[in-house]
Amino acid sequence: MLHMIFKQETLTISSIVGFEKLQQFRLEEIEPGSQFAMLQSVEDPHIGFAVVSPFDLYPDYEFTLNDEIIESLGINKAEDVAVYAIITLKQPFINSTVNLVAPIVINAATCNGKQFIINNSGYSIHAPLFPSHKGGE
Amino acid sequence: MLVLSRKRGQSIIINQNIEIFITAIEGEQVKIGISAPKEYSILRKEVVEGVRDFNQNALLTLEEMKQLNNWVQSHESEQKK
Repeated sequence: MLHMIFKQETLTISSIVGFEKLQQFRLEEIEPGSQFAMLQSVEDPHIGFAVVSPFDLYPDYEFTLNDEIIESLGINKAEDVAVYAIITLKQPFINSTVNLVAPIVINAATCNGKQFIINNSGYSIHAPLFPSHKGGE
Repeated sequence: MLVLSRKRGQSIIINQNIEIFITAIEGEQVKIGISAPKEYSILRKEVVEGVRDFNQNALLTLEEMKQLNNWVQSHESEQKK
């Protein structure tokens, strides 16, 4: 799975739970080369999430895409799949957490994505954003 | 909401392509088998509600966006990625 940034593309992300009415999003790095990006609604500029590639933080992170998401996103190959985890910002920033249970999964070939809820993952919805700071997982 | 009573071993069919089958009843707990087209998402409700609450909470305020920008600028410029 590759870490990709879609600078100019508008992504269609259905099924962000609670925000299903919003479908069009932009994904932009906070700063060039930053591991942090903003997932911003095109339809409602007040709606935005900070995201990060979970594999940058947790190299052993893995999950299986089920038939439901493969079919609905039209995924043909693993290399087309990009994964972003939503961050919950805390004060101070170093205490922030990341959602490893319900990542945003994007098919880069079609620019379609979904929030994918992993069943029985054993992962945390509030995993430390800085695992080494917290003593790790 | 439609409410039906079923005994163990009985089923309900929705839309002619989804089957809900009561496989076991043990005290307070019901084991339910679900057969549906593979593109359907099937999840326990409390899991979905948990993600809904999470998303609501994770929404960035303008203030938080500024703080994130500041943090990234001050921390990430010190490191090569």
